[in-house]
Amino acid sequence: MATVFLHVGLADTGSAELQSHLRTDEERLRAAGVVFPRVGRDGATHDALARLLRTSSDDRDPRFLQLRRTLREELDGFAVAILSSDRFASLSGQPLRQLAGLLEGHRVVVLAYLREHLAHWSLRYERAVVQSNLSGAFDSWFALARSPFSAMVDRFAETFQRGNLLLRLVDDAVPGSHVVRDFAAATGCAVLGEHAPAPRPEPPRVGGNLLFVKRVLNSFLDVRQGARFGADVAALALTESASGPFLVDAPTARRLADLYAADRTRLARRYGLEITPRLDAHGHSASPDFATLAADWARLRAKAQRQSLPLGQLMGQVAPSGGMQAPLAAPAAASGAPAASAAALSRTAAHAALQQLAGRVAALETETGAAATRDELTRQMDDLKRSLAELRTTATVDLRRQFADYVHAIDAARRIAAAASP
Amino acid sequence: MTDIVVHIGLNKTGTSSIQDFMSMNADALLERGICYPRAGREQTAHHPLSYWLKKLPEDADPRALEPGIALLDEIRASGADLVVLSSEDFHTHGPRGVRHLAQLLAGHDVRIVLYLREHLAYLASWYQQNVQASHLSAAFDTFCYFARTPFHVTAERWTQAFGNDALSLRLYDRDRLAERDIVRDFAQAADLRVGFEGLQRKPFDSNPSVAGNVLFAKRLINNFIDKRAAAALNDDITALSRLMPAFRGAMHVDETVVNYVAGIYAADRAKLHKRHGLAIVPCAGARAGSLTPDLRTLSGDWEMLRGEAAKRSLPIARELAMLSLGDLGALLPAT
Repeated sequence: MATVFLHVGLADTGSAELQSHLRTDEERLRAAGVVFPRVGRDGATHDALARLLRTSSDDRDPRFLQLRRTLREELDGFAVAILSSDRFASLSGQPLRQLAGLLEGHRVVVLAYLREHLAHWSLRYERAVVQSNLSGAFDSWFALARSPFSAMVDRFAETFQRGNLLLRLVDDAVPGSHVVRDFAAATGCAVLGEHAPAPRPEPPRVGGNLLFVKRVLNSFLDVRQGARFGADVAALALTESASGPFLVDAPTARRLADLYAADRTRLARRYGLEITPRLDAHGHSASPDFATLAADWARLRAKAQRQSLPLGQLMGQVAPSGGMQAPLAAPAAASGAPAASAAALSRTAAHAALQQLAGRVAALETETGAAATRDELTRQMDDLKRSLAELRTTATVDLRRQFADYVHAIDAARRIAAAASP
Repeated sequence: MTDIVVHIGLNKTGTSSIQDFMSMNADALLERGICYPRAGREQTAHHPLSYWLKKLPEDADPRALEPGIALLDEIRASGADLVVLSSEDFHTHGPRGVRHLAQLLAGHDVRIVLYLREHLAYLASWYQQNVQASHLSAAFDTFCYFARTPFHVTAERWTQAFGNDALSLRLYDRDRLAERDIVRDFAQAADLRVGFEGLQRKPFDSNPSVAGNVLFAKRLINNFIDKRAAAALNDDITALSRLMPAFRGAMHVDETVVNYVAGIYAADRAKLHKRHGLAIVPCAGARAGSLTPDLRTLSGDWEMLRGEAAKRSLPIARELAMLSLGDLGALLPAT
């Protein structure tokens, strides 16, 4: 009988790095009596096993019987085995019972790494927009995609017994390394993580208007097309200084925390896992930022075209028509909110001025004989930059960051204006 | 002890027709021994009662709190033999909300009426309404993937609190409704035992669902606006949908999505059949309707919508002016 460590994810909690180490250290682990079975594996994950469990109708399925035989042979003589796939987490019902049946006769320890709900869902959202064709807003998406961790944990606790469950909360700052170290300690596999795995580029974080552009374009794409253009977005993100985790405002963070209040209570009561919800704004790059959207759209399109990315062509077919405006949401003052500070009011004015300029700059791209307009716009942009520089001296940290983004957008718009044919 | 019928939805199963009928005829029905209480009701439905129950803490006694007290007083004072409560929001209650309602109505003979609908038809109708009236901007397949609503879970939540025999589960399918009419079917399900003579009916609502490139235009616009602004464009969308038949009615759904939906609800259908005797035949093959979007005509349709909205001075003209669409034919699957 072996002890089988079943690592079930969750996705984006450092699984990829852990699996990369498991693969790199496979032979060293084997020498130490730990097997990372090859059957049901796709490279470094047991995703193929998870897929088979989902699709096989019952345990008399010949593919399943073959897998059971091979797994038994692979585990023979080993004290410890490790199975790892983020896809295990979504198993339930018959497929989960089949997994239990497959491991019958062994002691199974389930390891699940969780992350605070806002951190988890905001990252899942970003990935879904970039790598797929999700076109919904974050707030409507998380309300739809509601999925309490405790439901998954309960399923595994019922199937493999609560005492065989190890739940961990991942530190958002260093998920990968944390999980590898923790996993090595939990499984007693000291050799794990001693050697660096082959470098594996992490997908860049995508936020701001680049994320929003992809979200809008996703409306026209199917899943496959969404993934294909996602590669272009990732390429652009590598050189975007204003990208990074997208901004979730505090009210939205609190709504999400409320949505998962019962989940946190259940995890604490049943499994002793305390999750402190984030109630403040999360991330930093507004997605969308309407003040700079038109200019960003034109700049990103030009950049994609320079890099010969197909995304550039698509962005040309779906484009802000010169007057991209802020949404219809009522201004704070009109909705009875407390009066804005002087800096915030100045920001509103800066927003409006920038919007107007950005729209005109975007229009310049398609207009010819606009040298006078271009020069006038350039002068106005320089004026606005000077105003922003003055505002920054009295603004809060958040506003200063916002102003810096505006200056960045103005510089980009100036370059576009300069390149526009007179 | 009074007989009480609680109509809990689902949404998109003719609930408005039932609620319109009950509220328009509340006085006439009371003369016939049927009370449609005003307590806990706003306009036609008992949504406020449902929202209130949903928010009650675990240890609260709804019989000792307003509006629970007002409702029980009205029921007592009405002298009616039968009381009807109706809100599609009831079906969204978790176990606690359902328990609170059972507590509130304790001592009465309660029956629960729940209309279900074939899963794909339900999801499509719900999606179309959400895109039109809210700020949903996700694709239909994404919506289906995330908005999973196994009906048997809802049914079981209510039978656990009120007992198996209390639940009347019915299918919202015109061919299976009494006289092909949801109001008459509900009258049968609730055992209203009233003739319809002298009772009013709201004229048939001739606003069919919005589909095609108008629905897609709204979906695209929803990316740029918040929920309140999105809701404010509802009438504009209805007006624009009248421009062409392709902008109204059912939405085309690919066979792959139809099969996906049928697959994920197979267990739900089996459980509903086994436990409640309700057979739902899943949609098969591509669902006929307007392509949403129709990329071959989108660019031209967008320009037409922009022009019409501007000509009629519709507020949506501002949103339509934000984007211009070129030829998107390259995105069409190769044939």
